[in-house]
Amino acid sequence: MQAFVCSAISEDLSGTGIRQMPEPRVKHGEVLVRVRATSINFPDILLCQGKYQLKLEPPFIPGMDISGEVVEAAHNVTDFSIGDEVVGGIRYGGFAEFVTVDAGSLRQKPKNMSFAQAASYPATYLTAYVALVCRGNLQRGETLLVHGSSGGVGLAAVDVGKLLGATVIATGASDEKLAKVLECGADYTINVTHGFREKVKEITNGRGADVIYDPVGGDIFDESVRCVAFDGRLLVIGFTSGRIATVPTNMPLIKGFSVVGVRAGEYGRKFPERGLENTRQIWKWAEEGKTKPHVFAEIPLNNTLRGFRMLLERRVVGKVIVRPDLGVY
Amino acid sequence: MSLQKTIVRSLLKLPSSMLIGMSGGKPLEIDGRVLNPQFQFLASGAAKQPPMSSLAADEGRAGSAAGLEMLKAKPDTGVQWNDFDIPSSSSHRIPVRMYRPDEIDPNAPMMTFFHFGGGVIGDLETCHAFCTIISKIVKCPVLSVDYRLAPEHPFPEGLNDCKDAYEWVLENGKDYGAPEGISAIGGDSMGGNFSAIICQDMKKEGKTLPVLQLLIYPATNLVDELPSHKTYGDTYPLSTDTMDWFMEHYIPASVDRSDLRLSPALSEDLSGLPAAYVITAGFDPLLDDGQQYAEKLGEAGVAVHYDCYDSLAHGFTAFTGVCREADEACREIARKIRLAYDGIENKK
Repeated sequence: MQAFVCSAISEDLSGTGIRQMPEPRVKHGEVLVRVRATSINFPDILLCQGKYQLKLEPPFIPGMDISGEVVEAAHNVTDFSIGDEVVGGIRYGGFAEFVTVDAGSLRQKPKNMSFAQAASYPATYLTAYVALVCRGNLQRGETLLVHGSSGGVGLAAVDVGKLLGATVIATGASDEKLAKVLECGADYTINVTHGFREKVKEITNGRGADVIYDPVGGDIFDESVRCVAFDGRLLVIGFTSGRIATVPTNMPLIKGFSVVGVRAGEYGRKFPERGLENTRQIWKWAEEGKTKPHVFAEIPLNNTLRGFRMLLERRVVGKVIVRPDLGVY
Repeated sequence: MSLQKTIVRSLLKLPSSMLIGMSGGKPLEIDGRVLNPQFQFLASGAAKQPPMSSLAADEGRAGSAAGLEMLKAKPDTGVQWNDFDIPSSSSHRIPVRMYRPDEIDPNAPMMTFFHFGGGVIGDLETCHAFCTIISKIVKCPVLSVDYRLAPEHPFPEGLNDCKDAYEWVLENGKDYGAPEGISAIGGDSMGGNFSAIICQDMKKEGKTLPVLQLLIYPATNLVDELPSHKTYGDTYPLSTDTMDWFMEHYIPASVDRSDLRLSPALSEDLSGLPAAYVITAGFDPLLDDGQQYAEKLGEAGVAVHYDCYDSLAHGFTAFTGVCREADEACREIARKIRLAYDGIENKK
């Protein structure tokens, strides 16, 4: 089979590309899936650069959100049979024609979603859900400030925030992309190029945001500290800016806010039952058509690296989907 | 794998005697050459299909892509590739595929490669397995160019894309592990036509010449009637009928076929062109074309190496998945490019 492989850890991603690989074999409890769509997440890129919390020894195949068809199941797997259309979140292995997945990580793909939409969903919506519900305790009527709102995790947080009944302020650095975020449901947008603190204060009548969802870090985090409400929660999602910010501990004390770390996948591994419940909830929303994942582009497997660069160059609103069945006759 | 594909591929693994038995009963011999049994089998199957010249360009394209997909080889391991696009000298961008071997020779120039297809059909998949063979054996990056096709983009649009790609490699090769400022150039059939012409263009314009021109069963003379046009005029997969169909689509009515950017072999002065490695196939209307161009280059003092694979047919680089002899030929071609590269590196 052909797969997008990281054969050497490299900052410039020169160690990544498509190559001919052996087809994976099903082990106990696993299902072999013919991949129809895999979405690109920022951690996929960090993994190939050796900058993610998970470290893998090359060669490995990145890709954590997959959808596809079951082509084989281990004899002890009873929940799935050949031909089932499935979706799931895994840690790596997705950018390939085939992948073996633990049956427990898969579920039937909702009928109302395409393969691409389904693959766009697991990591970003689980992150938004764990952040806003489990860690951020976002309440109906509160104000949610979402940074990096045009990215995959950002846009999912806008969507989940609205669904939970919050007023959503979305930030970003491009007016064009923010216009799209507004279309996707945000109540307000702010271009952060000239700062956002004053505008957040203005929208919230001087109170600040109750929950701040921050996948960006760096300067954005620093300024967030200055517009978080009393009793507010500042959620640390990631550091796409490349700088990990620091905060003097007298600030949370004086202003009465919390800095809360979010690791959505780890949350489910540490608390398996809550993890299952979280997953159940996001898929229930999907099946009911309540969430609106946004697919920005669908590209062939041979273009995976190009998709990575689209994310790195901030040219994406929502998710880029890799389709192994595109570009092949 | 589709049922049809499975059947065809299993049949092609049968012993030669059985393949010949199923396709005419005796080996096909023309002018002292004997066709490879797998090609003979494929030719007899193709004879039952409508000729490409009876189809519209897009139908021909889709049909040939589907046919080649059925026969395609697995890419070699030890090579990675990525698709992206590069700027052209006009406003559009040119899709390309960049191959890089795991074991790379930092002194080996990048090979800029153009697929076959008469300027009308073919794409990056056409030469995919072959490019992995070159990249792996020569230990160099290969840039395969998805140039624009006629009739939507007639002469000289595809040619200009290829020239732009060659010049892009001169500038950017260093970012992909190749030495800066140099490139080899190559292609088969129409890709060979483009390669020969770009060498001549670079010479005329006083620009950096390719270090090597790889011309695999090239078309270099679209004017003269050559004996092989008749002798091997009805061969598979290229017949003179198909060739005419390609050229009707590719060449606008207002353009004279003796234009040197169509027929580089008609150039009066071939001196000073890059070292050439010219390859022809026995069962090919273009047999004499490639052979004569090799001779002319040699007479003009260009270093030339010429080989003819007598039992193989036009387009054999795309048949490595089902024809062992074609696979062996392609690997031999790659090994000889490697030797040529050693010569270039030793000269420095």
